[in-house]
Amino acid sequence: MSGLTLIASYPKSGSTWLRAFLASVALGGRTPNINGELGAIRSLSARALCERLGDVDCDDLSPRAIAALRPLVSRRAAQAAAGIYKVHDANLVPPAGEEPAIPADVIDRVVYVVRDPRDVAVSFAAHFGMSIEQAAATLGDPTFMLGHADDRPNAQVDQFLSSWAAHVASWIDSPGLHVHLVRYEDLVAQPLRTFAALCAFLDLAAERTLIEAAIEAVRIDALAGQEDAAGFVERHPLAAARFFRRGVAGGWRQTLSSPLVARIEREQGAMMARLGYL
Amino acid sequence: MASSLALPELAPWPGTPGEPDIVIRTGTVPDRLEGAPDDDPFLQVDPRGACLLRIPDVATYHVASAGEVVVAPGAGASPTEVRLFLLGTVLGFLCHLRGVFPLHASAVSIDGRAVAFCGVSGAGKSTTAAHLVQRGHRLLSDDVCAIDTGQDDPRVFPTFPRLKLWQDSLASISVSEEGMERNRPGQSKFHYRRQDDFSAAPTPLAAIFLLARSEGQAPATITRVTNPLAIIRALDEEVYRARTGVLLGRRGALLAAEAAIAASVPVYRVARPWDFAHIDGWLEQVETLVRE
Repeated sequence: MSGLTLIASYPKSGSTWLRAFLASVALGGRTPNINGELGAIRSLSARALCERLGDVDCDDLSPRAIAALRPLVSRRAAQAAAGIYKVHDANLVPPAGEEPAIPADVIDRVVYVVRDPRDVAVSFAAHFGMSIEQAAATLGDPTFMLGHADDRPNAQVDQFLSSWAAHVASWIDSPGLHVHLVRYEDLVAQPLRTFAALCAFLDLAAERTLIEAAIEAVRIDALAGQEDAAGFVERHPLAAARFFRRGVAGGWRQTLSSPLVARIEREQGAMMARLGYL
Repeated sequence: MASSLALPELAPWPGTPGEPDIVIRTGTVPDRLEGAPDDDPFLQVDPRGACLLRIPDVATYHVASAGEVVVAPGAGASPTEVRLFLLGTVLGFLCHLRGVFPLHASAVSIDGRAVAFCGVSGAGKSTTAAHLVQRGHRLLSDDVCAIDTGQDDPRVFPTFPRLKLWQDSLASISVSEEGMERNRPGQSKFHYRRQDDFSAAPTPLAAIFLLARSEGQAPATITRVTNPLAIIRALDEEVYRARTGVLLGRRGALLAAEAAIAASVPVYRVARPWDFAHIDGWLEQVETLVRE
């Protein structure tokens, strides 16, 4: 393998679960410690990584400078520490930048995790401590940036996400990229088959028994139990709820008002239909 | 140091006037440096050791030699922003060029003995230094701690009496940000000057603390790192502008400095809860350890 293997997703689509699974496979099927052993798959927008590889202090940089820093960091990561990284960036040129944060020439392959945007909206609202109305508006915002904070130190740097549908399209419709699409709903409904296909795509030699053990080890109650006992480093400071909430597909039916359902379906409908959500 | 750019953060030179070691002036800078690799939008380092640092919207800094810096401010850049990189990144380059070890740390003097606090950005270096200053100790440096390992025992060359602090950190020492310069436009991080609590004299390095966060409500723990190789590894992670130092041919010198520090300075790991409520408790422990 040369270059970067990306676990790419819009936030709240299940990539942390997927990382926990991969960590468990590497640990022989036991439950990873969520506050240490998920870190093996690092984030390309982690501030510490950007500062180390960029030799800069991100607090001091303008959004334009950060947009120039990101591709540099991705190239250096590919050179110095190729491997698996998680990203929430869209595969698009950010408004302040000249190229995508992860340039195509350093990408070896991409696992793209996608989830029904109606469920994403509910989870997004809880994670960022905002109303579901705000979350739905964010999913439809083509200019949306994540990770910029002017009021506190941030563990992440600016990421350009655009809207939910544009984010999905930027990764799965990108010619030349080797992309494996994983639907959250398939992880829930058919975990063995879906996780096994993931392992095959990543060239992980994992026996069926190990895959089964890892799926069991990262059940939502095991991860949520750890969060209750010791917190979770990746929980957002403004979060209104636990990070590991329910781990179900279709929960929006109980929580999302019909005007919001209509809004999301109107704004994201074409891509939802392509993915079998409509 | 002599500068044509006003540098109000710096303390006046305490000694007799003489030839400056470093001259800073505004002027024209080259577009690029001959022979420098072209793989970095921010920085070029040429084979002679000159550095060209280009910060979008702020300024371009040409560190022509260990004694000369030329600054070309960008149109519309505020003087605060222009000084920010001069007193940060460029200071780090000058340390590397002048053979001084730049540790990514904030430092205070406790009874005339320097204590440095390391950690990645956001680990609490400046906040810790601010609280120790509140407790009556003297500030030596913030963010970049220049350590001279050329003498028998490592010592800290103080930099300047300014701390970069977020609003909540300022509030934790009951200081209002009113009238302070912002680190960047619109950012709630401020430049807090403490001229009266600064010590400008080179100070022997008595201890280094590596700051980390403990999860949940676990109480603070301070553990001495005893294995010299572990100390060297840890210090190597905390070199300020390490990548540039290596480009400047300092790899061996940095390792030698880390080894010199590991041989004579106690190094501790601090894991503490992420709030201000418990800070005095573990700072008392720090004071006790340093005074032992």
